[in-house]
Amino acid sequence: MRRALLSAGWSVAALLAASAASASGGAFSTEYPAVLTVENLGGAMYLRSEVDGGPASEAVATGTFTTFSPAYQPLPRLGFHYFVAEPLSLGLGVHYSDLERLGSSLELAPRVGVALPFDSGTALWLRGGATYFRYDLAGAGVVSGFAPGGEALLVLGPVDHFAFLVGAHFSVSTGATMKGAGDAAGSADISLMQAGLTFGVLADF
Amino acid sequence: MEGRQHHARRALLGVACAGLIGSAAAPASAQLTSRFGTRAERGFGNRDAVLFSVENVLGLQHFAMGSLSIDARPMTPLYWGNLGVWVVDRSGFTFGGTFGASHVFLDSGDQQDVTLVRLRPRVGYAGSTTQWFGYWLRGGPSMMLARLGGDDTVFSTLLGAEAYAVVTPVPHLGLLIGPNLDYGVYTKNAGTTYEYGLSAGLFGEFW
Repeated sequence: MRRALLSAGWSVAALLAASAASASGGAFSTEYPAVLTVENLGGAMYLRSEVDGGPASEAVATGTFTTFSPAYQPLPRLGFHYFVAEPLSLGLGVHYSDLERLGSSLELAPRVGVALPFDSGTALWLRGGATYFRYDLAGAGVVSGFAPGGEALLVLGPVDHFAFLVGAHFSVSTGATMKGAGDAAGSADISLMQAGLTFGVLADF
Repeated sequence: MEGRQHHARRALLGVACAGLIGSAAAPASAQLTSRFGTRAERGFGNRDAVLFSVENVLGLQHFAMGSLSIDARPMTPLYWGNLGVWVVDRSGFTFGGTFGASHVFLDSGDQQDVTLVRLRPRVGYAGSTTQWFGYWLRGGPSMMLARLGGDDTVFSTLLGAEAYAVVTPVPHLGLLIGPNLDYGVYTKNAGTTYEYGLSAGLFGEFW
């Protein structure tokens, strides 16, 4: 048990140091080209939505994020990225959740990225793309459209094959529409914006 | 007499040979490295480790609180509060917990606060049959708090358990898949609370 606690102390120290110089492999993107990510696990995010001709709605989400509503919090994403040529990555982030009576959400976020390693365990990963989204708000309408955006993520890898992601996330929709539900068959333009800091994890192979 | 000398000579020869073999074998075993370094043969649960886990990333979850009942699939991350920090002892004993704390300030004409907190401390036992495959059984209390706007705070205490199969395909990375169950034993301002499902997640392993 003492060993385990000692190990815990060392691990925390290593994470706080964040430089992750202990990773014995090559720098991020150079040795393991396939990257699996789980992103938007938490952070602090500002969200703004405005239906054309209607009032704006604003939300500030902090802490760990949930899947309950895309109007309140950014949705967690599962991603797969591949470094086709150093330092260029191509990938796709996906969110799909169906919460039955609370509605369903779909996000497809293709990304082109560039990784800039600082040392064996630390890198800056810049990514951009356009996210397709479709939110079925369970009786309150369906919102769909595209949202160009991107992330500037710091990769902190204290060990091989596993790393933390911390960084900025930004997206703003273009040409999104909101279609009414039930008798309200009309549609209206809607603008959505998200900006803030998020964290996640990755595994590379 | 000659027989005893013969036996003694054979014994000394044996000891010398054993010493030679031992001294030769020692550096050889020191060179035995594997995906897990010096703790080559020790799979998950048989080696000291600290884990950071992200659970319920994918799966099927049924959640009920009073009259509210939700089936969630297939991405159920942080639904809500499934980030974990764990200590694993080489004896197999594990302790730690998952947590989540979410606050939303919403302004859509009228202002509203939503706060969700979840904490699941657990003790457990982990073991493995090979370097790549193991299991992790955990149990303990769960606490859940929800406050929506000016409504009364809902608080639940539950008893829960998880039974995960653990796959460690590469060093420092583990994949989790298995069933989970939480059943409410005390709830304030809401009906019976429970949650169950099958989920998959992952963890990073540090030591």
